[in-house]
Amino acid sequence: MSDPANITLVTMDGTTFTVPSAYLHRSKLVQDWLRSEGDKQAMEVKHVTPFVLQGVLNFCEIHAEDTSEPLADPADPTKPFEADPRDDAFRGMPDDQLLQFTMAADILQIPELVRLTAQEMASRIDGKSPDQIRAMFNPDDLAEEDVDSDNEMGEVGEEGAISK
Amino acid sequence: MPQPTLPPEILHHIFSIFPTDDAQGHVNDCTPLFCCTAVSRDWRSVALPMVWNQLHLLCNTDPTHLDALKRFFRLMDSGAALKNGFDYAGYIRKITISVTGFRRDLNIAMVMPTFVRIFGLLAPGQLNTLEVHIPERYPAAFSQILAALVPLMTSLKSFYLEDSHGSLHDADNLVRHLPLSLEELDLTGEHSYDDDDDMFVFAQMPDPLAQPPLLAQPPPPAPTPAVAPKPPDHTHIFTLPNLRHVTLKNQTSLPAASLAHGLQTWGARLTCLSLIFCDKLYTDAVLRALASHCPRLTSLTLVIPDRTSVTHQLITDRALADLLDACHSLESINFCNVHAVSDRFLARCAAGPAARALRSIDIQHAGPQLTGSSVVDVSGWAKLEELSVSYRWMEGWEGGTRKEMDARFVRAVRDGCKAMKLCWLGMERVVGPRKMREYWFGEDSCVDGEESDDESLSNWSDGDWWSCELEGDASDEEEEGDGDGDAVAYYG
Repeated sequence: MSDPANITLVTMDGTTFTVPSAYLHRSKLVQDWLRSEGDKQAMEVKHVTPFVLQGVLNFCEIHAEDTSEPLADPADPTKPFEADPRDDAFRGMPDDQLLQFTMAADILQIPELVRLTAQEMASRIDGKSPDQIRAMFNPDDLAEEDVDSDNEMGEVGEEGAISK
Repeated sequence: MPQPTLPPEILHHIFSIFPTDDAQGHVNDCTPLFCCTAVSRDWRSVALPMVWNQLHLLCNTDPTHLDALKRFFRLMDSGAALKNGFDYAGYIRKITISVTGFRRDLNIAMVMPTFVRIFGLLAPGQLNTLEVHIPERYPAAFSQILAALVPLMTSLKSFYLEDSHGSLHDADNLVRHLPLSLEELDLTGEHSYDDDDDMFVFAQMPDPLAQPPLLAQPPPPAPTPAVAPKPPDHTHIFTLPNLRHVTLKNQTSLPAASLAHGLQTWGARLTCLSLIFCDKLYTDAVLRALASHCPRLTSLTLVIPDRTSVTHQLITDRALADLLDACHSLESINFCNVHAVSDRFLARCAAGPAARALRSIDIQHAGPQLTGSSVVDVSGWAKLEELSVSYRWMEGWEGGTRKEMDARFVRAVRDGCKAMKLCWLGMERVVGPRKMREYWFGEDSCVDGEESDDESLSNWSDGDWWSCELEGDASDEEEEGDGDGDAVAYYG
């Protein structure tokens, strides 16, 4: 790597982003890469689109100066989540983009971003029916036998206390 | 076209944000987590084990509840679930058994068969947490429930037993079967009515299931000599080597020597110890064993019952201070009615290097020997975030009616403890919001205009404890008293 102060990331379509390495000090993937392959010209970030990587880098730039201790685990119950107004952009984005950012945060292993996107996904899921959730995030469908099982649970509900 | 699939660990993280509930609660109320089981195969495979992670079995003989319980068992046992590879019962890791309120008309025999059938669906070793609240009056049926639990206890990591009414043999049997894998233990023994007036009143209530008196009363049987019940034998817990958290409550027959032996067994693994209303365990020998064998202790709670007079408390302030020296990781101490907590202890705690890790100190029902007099060096409390000292304020109670601590000590805490977030000394708020609710739930939790105007002590017993406002802002008041006296010397 010609400039140790900067790092170049290459997305799935070949788009390059060169940013200060300090921006990505919370990314475990990047830190591991710098330690093992830091002499290479650029780090490939497959499965991440330029648009999403740009958003992730924006998040990293915003939080580059944060003095808080890096999260070891995004699910750490001892460190409750606190909404940060600087992250409002993530709360207003469409569902499909939120899903892509969640995956990018997981790929780059940035616990703070994983926690932010997971909190936003949970808040959008809360109160929705399975059909509504499917419409939002369009995951793979349930298999037919699973639907049978669901119906069985529903039938139990029709009898009384257990309803679906 | 389907979106890319989130990895299971991310889905698990998202789902774990939802409120936890027991399996029946998830299914009955169709919680967000339960809805996630019906979204996709990937979501279902992650959410189902979370839905079925814990099961709360309620001893409730209401017909609606019984019907729901039977239907729930059929759901667990359904062939459809197994056919799809989703073994609902196999996901259960925690079981809680409790009773609704203080029901005297409880007929546990009505729920027992279903409970036992549910236990039969579980594999030995799959449970990691068991929580049992033995009801006040239980027939032989509850013994069968407890006996059916024993085979499931082989790999427990957490065990909670509340046997407030002394079922003796059955509780003993459960405790004897605790496995070596156990890491957390909470044992609550037979309730002492001396410490709870409500329970005493309840114990005097007539039994509605008792046979009505006959018009012609048969002669009463000859009184049989009372046989004192054999006290529970829980000494098996002192042989469990992996215990990290131990809470013993109302264990009045446990001898101090046995606990000292247990502390040697638990050793450096022990991090949290709570001794609540355990009459025989408040001795220097226990504290010394703790200091010798448990250097990683982070939390210590000692609650001494009111019935234990000062002369029967076998703890000295020197042993308490030595404990601080030995347990450098101690972060939280909670003492109630511990008369050994004196000014000498306070001085050593506040200034000594051993207290550097302390973040929370709560001293309730402090004795008259704790005033803060001459304690002005608080350099050891650099990380201390919460400090509370309270006295008994009712007339005639042992400990007097002290409300204030020494002014110089109060000033030293206010000026010297930079990390302090909440501090009440006597009846004086030294650091923190005016209302406790603000501290615990944030400023938004307090509605304007709901403050109480009554600043009398009666607020604490009759009013909204969270909202009451006792003294004016301490920082605005002129402190009284000069706190005369020589600085308290360290122990040798």
